[in-house]
Amino acid sequence: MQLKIENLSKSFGDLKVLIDLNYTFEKGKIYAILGKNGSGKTTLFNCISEEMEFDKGNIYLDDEIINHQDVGFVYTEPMLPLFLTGFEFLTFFADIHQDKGLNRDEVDSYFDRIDFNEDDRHRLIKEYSTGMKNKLQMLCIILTKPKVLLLDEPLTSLDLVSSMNMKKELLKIKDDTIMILSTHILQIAKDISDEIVILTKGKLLDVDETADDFEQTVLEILQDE
Amino acid sequence: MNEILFRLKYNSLLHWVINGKIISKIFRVKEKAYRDYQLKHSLQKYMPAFDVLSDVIKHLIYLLVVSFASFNANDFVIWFMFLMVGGFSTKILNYDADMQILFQSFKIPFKDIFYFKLKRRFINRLSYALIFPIGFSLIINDFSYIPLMVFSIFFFMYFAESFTLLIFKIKKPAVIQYPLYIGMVVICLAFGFLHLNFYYLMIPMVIYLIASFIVIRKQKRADLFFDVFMKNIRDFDESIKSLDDLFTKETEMDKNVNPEKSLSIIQKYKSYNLYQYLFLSRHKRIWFKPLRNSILIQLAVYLVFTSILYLDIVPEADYQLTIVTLTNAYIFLLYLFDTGQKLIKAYYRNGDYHLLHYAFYRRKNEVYKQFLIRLKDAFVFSLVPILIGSFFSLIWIFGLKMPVGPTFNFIISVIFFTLFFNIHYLFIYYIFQPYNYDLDKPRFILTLFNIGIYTFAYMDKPWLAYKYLGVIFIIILIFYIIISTILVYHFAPKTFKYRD
Repeated sequence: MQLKIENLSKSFGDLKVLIDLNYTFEKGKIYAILGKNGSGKTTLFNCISEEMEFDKGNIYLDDEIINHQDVGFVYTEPMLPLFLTGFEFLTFFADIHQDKGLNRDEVDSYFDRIDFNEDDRHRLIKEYSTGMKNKLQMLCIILTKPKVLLLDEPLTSLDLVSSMNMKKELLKIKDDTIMILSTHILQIAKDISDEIVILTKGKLLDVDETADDFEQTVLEILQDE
Repeated sequence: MNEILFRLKYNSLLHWVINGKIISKIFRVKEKAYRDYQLKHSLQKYMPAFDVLSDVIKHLIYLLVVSFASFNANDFVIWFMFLMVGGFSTKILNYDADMQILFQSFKIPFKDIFYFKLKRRFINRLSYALIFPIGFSLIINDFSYIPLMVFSIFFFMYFAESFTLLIFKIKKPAVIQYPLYIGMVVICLAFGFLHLNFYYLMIPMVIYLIASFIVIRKQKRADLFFDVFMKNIRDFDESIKSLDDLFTKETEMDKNVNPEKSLSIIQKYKSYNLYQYLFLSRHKRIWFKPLRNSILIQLAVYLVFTSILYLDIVPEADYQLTIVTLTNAYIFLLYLFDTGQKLIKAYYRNGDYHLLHYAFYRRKNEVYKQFLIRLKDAFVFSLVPILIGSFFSLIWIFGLKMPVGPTFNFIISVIFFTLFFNIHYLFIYYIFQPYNYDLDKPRFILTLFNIGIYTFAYMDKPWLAYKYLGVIFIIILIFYIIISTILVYHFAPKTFKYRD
């Protein structure tokens, strides 16, 4: 399975964010997209998930135009209905995704997978910290095993234990998914990804993570922008 | 202060112009215009004139809307009720960005802001009092109301601000506000039904004017009020928001939510039914309270009307005309207590905005499934008012031997308009999704629909007396629901999207 981006361009007024971007992502690998703030990481994700219309280009999943139903998107700002408890939301989510093998009777076991405190499960999401909300959001998306998983600045708001658990969960579904995460923290990119790609000047550039001067190269590319 | 406010408004206007691609090209505006202090300084003295001019334009637009709707002098009752409703909330203390900047950034004393805005409001009312009563009288060709209208305009401005001062120390102001509100609406409607001289309404107004003035002066209420705000300077946002934060407060979930019953609810409901049940049970203040208040007023109006019929005050020949007035009043009440719009705002802000970020929530069948559940609930909300209306209609026909035809038309109108006010905004929501997350930039189409509904609620509707109206209403309602549902099924997956 391949996610192929061809000549993707997107501008906001005079500001050209993505310029004839070409890249192919493959299943079974975790890609980390590094870039400065405002370099267009979220815009790229929004284009892939069809949240945003782009000016030019095509995005294919296995040679067919991508369908947003194949994409799971974990946002930097967690998107959850605040009037529900975590347990209620996950039950509702499991009801909707029965076709993907989710079962409302196993909601507690889903929470266990991310080490979510039992009492917190029955509190309103409104009262959750950002980290807790992030965990819940990421869990929901991971459970549906989307063909393409986009993670916009994940793990940054999670504590150490949650971050480790979440990495384990991501690695579990890695083989069946094209996983792309965006970050501006080099350490996260190195820790979790198989490939590091830099988004600079509206294009994606491969960098060799194993090279001795890897960090220096990344810095130079980003400073050049 | 005038100068600061001018700069703020000037900058926001400039920001809007610069960001508008076409407009900025037409006017050749560049970002450096922000730093053109000389220009700002020279424009500053024209600001009050621009403000008054914008007020005058708004009054004229309002007059235009009324002129579309108005046919006769009975509209005075409706206008008076709109004015009265506006008079229940302070306009001076409304929380806005300008007020926050004046207070927090420029440290301008609260008392000064209050009096500045009071003066500004007075100028607004003055231009309204000069334009509207004369324009309105010209439309209805009856000049006898002018003195009362002018007096009422200034009275309700005073009422809104003085009432806030009078009740600010009371912990539960709603205990006083609602009975007073219901009482005033009932008195106003009784004046309409009994064709009493509206100038008698000036008696309670004058009594309130004198009594409130004495209390505020004697107890130095205004000074106390300013002190409270100054003491809360650190929590300024919260203090002001608790007074009046129209955009977000109206969609907030209930305060005392108890998730303990959650597990039993989960056992009982599944999927979207579960979501919807939890949503409604945690947002009762949005739908339950207005529904309850509306029902109380309806009961009061029906009882007054039944008593009038029982006491034979209305001759049987006038029954049809009186029932048309009652239908008009019913439509107006539905408009006032309309929960439909508040509910969809809460649907959006507290749930849909977040869930629309998930791909599953945008699937055609999922959108439609949830729409049908919400439509069903809209029908359920309509049930109680319809049952009450039907109950009283039966009393009028069988108990008081009133003619069947007009009463049948009345009950069909009740069913039609109750359902319309509950489902219309839901259709608009799914077909146009008019909101952004902060709910402060609705799409123009919603404003257009709102003006239409406002005009409709306002206008005199002599056609309500038409013999076959009941049958026509039933046909329209059925078609409206079918067509709208088909439109939602086909178009909502494309139109029902989140906006930041």
